[in-house]
Amino acid sequence: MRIGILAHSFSSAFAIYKAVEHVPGQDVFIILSPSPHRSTLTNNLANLTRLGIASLKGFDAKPLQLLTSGRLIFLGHALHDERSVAKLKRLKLDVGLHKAGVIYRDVTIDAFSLGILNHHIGILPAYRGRSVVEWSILQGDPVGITVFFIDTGIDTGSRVLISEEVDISGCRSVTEAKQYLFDLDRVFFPKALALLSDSKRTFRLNDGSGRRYFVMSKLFQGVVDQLLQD
Amino acid sequence: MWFASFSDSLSAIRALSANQQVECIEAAPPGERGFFDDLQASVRDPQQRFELLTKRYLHPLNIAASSEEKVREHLLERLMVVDRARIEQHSIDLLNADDLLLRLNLIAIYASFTTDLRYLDALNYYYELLPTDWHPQATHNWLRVSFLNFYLRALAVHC
Repeated sequence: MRIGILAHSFSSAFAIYKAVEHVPGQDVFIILSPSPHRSTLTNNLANLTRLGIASLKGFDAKPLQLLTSGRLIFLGHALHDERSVAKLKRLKLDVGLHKAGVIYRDVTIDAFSLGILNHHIGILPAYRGRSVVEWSILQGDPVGITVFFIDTGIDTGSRVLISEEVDISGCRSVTEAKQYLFDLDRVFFPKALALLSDSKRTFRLNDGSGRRYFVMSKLFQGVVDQLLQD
Repeated sequence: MWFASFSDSLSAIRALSANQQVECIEAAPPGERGFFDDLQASVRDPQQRFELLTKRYLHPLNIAASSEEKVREHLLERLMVVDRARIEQHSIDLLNADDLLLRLNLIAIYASFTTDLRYLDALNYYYELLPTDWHPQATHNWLRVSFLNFYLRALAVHC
C-alpha cells in the first residue's frame, strides 16, 4: 500500500513516519502543505530547518534520505488546490494519514484510492467535534481513540477502523491527557494500516447519531480538570 | 408543544427575562414553509435572520419545542464556530449586535429546559468572551441584560 502522511510540519509528520515505516508492505511518503496561516516560502523554510534539526539531533540520515529519494514532497499550494490534487494523484496513493489542521474537500479525499484516515481523540459516533476529551470526562463517559476514514463533514466519516477506550487515569490535567492521546497516533496509525492490509477487514459504522461538541468554556474546563485530579 | 403568541417576540423576551408572566396557551405549530432553509440562507444577512427569528418565535419559549431541534443545533453551531472565530480572530464589532444578542437569548432560554450541557456552556463561553466594556451598536441594547438574566437562570437550574 502507498501511504501519504499529510501535514503542515515536518516534525509531526516525521514522528508518524518513524512509527509506520516498518509496517510490512507499506511505501510511505510525507506530503507537506503550507499552513493556512503562513506563506508557502515561510512554511517551506521552517520545514527545511526542522528537517536539518531532526538529522543533526539524532545523527539520523533518514530525513535527508526522504528528501533525496523523493519521498518528502512539498506542496506549493493548499491541499484542495488543483495543482496539489494533481500532484497527489500522480503519487497513486492508497491511504492518507491526517496530520494537517484542515478540513478536507472531496477532491483531496478522492486523490487517495481508499481515503484519508483520521486519528480522533474521542469515541465515535458519540463524541464529534472539538474538546471531546473534556466533554467525555465531564459527562462521565469513556475517553478513547477512533481511527476512521474522513469525509468532508466534522467527524462524520462512516467507516471506522478502530474504536478503543484509553485509560487516562495517569494524567493529572486535561492538557496532559490530550497530549497523551494525540501522541498515540504513533500507535494507532500503524495498527490501522495493519488492519487495512488484512483482506478480511471490516468497518464499524459511524452513523452520525452522536452530538457535535464545541470548544469548552474556561468554567467547564476548570470543572473537568478538578474531576481528573479527584 | 407550541404556544400561541400574544405580543411580539422582543416584548415577550423582555417580559420573560424580567420574570413577568407570559401567557402559555397551546396552539397549533406553524407549518414548515421552508423556515429552516430560509434560516440557513440568511447566514450572511444578519438583519434578515433577526427578522426570521423574531417572526418564528413570537412566543420565545417555542424555541424549546421538540420540532425546533434542527434550528437550535444550527444556532448553537453558528455561535460556537463562525461567530466565535470572528470575535476571537477579529472583532466583535464585525457582527450585527442585535442578531447576535437575539440568538444568545434564544439559546439561553433553551438552556434552562435541557440537560444537554452544550447549551449552558455556550452561555459560559460567551460570558467569558464578550468584552466587559462592550457597548454594542444595537437597536435593542437591553437584549444584553436579558441574555445575562436567562444565563443566570440556566446556571441556577443546572447547579
